[in-house]
Amino acid sequence: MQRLLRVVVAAALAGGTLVLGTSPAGASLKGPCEASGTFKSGGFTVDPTSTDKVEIPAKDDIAWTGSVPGKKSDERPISGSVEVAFPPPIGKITVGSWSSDSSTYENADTYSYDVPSVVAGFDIPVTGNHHEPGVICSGKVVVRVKGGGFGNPLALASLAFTIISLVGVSLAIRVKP
Amino acid sequence: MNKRGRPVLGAVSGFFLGLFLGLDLLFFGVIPLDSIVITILPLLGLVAGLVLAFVAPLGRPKTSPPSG
Repeated sequence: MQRLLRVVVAAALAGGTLVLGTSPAGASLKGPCEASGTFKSGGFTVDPTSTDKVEIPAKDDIAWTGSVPGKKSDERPISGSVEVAFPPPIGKITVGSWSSDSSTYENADTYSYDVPSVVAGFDIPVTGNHHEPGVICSGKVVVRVKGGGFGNPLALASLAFTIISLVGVSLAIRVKP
Repeated sequence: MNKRGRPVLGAVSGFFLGLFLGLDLLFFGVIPLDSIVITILPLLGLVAGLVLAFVAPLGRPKTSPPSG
């Protein structure tokens, strides 16, 4: 689960949910922040100003960058979070958050991840926001890990339990002797 | 009342049938993780299983051939 959370945060960063430049019409990212993420093995770069959905490899290294406007030496309070949306009544669950004083206005690093096959093949909605004086950035992206389907062991288990449940229903509608 | 199905088994089985149908749709990429379908299907399954068990058996009853 910890690995899933990490990749979701990484994908959110790569997708630019924490970042965001001037958003053109239709883009899901809003605010003056900027960011980008390059998937090295995948061979593509995510542009947060134009990407609403991203399909990522199950294992890769992301070279990411992020920045916010401001004077480079000023320390100010910053806060934000990254959330994953689950079905009702669960709702959104925070998978990462930050709240501190910082003098950093831009950052870059490489994040390596390797997620299990159980999270592959379906859409994971991720939202994020970043706040600091004079700056509010927010955005959302749908992340899907490549693969899945019959390659996802949870999908096979779910299919098996579907059949078992179907047998249960068929037994339930039989007339009692 | 004897010619009825098993309502408790129907409700339980229907609930899980709906739950796993929803998960099938999720894992095969038909619906997203935050879809309300995952919440609704188990409830629909519970009700459907209960109703089906009460109205069982479905279809026309067997009729015995006329004598004589």
